[in-house]
Amino acid sequence: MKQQWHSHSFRAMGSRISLWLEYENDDEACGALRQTEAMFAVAETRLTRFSDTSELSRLNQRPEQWVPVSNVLWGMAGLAVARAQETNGLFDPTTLPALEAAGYGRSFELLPAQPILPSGSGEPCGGWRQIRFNREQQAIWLPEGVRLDMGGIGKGVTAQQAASFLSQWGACLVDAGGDLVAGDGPTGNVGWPVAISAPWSQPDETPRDLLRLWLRNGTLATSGVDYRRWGNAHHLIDPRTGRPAETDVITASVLAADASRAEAWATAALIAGLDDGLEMLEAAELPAALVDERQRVYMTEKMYPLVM
Amino acid sequence: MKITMSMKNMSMRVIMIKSRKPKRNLGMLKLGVAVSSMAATWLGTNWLAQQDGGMAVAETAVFTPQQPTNSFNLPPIPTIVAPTGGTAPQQDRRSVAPTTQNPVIIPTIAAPHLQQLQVTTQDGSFTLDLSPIPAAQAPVFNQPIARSRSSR
Repeated sequence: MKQQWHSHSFRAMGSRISLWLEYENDDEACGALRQTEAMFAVAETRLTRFSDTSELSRLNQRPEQWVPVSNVLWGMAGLAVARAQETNGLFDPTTLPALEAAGYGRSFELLPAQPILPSGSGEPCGGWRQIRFNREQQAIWLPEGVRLDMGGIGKGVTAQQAASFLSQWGACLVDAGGDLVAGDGPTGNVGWPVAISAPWSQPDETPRDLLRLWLRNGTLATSGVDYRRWGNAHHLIDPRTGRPAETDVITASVLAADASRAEAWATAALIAGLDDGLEMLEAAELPAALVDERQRVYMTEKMYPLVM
Repeated sequence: MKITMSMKNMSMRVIMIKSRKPKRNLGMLKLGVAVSSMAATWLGTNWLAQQDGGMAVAETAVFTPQQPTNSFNLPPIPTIVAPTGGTAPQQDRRSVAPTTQNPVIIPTIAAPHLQQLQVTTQDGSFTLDLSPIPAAQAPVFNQPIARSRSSR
């Protein structure tokens, strides 16, 4: 049967989500895409920090108590803490108080455009080290003053679940606001042709491509300080200082089989800066590319063979 | 009025609007069951079974029909294909046969006038668009289809 192409875009989790699916039946493909949209909607209502009724907010509102959580939040929180350990705390899911102190207390679209004085909390983060998990009760205990934020990792993991789901029908690609997760490659191709964009491009502007590669059964995640800025602050907190990271890296892109790993290492490398970031990524044997403010690209050894 | 219904690998509650007329209640019940089944399907039965241990996320479901329903001329309740559930595509995608084992039942049960579905959970509510998605043109593979960049 002839393969058909299906594409669908919608907004979720503060980002533009785009899906591609190769499958021969229009009705079934439509159903699969709509179900995927519903997956994002469910994940957003559950994991957003901008709604007091989300499960994440209800957990954050109850410090020093064992709070039973759903499988979704249980898995997501566990992944976040595991990635924090793996990156030696440079990826930190508990920077929320510092992030709010820096001015990111509302959805990004609602933040004031005028410059503010970003400060952050000025106190080191790392509260994830005190989070306790009770596997039997499937409950989480947060210490006083520690709140979880599933921002980037939640979207990446949901995108990976979406790709897994769509893969039941055929080759697929999920673009979750710039984090790309691919299933199998489309018919006749080794993967999906994707690019790492130059930083600073506007959302509606066609950006210049710095690197092109084929993506298949993996995630390409990019963290950056070129977007989600307000005034002269940005959304990536250095957990060592509790303030917006001062870094010579503008964007960090990491390729990994697991979305949470790609997300966490991209954030960690960006916060670490060019030299330390590259060293960390080489040690972790991850394909990655860092871009500095002059748009020079620095790649790890694992990245070179993948570039077109 | 809350009704708890069970389906394979999931359970859910349907909130009904109280009416003084029993026939309306019955009609709403039928429609509620059909719609809530559809809601659960929309949320991906396999995914739910995997994510929530078989408990549906949509603990309550109400629907927003595009046409007025005060006449309660309900469409015949379509046959609902029991969701299979239980498969775990994340563990081994290739072992999951497409569609025959994971039927997409939305097109078969969707009432033609339904364009949106409002889903309410204890975490919040959202609206699902049910309109068809037309097939797309084949992508051009000599240029990037998507670009990785900072979250936006």
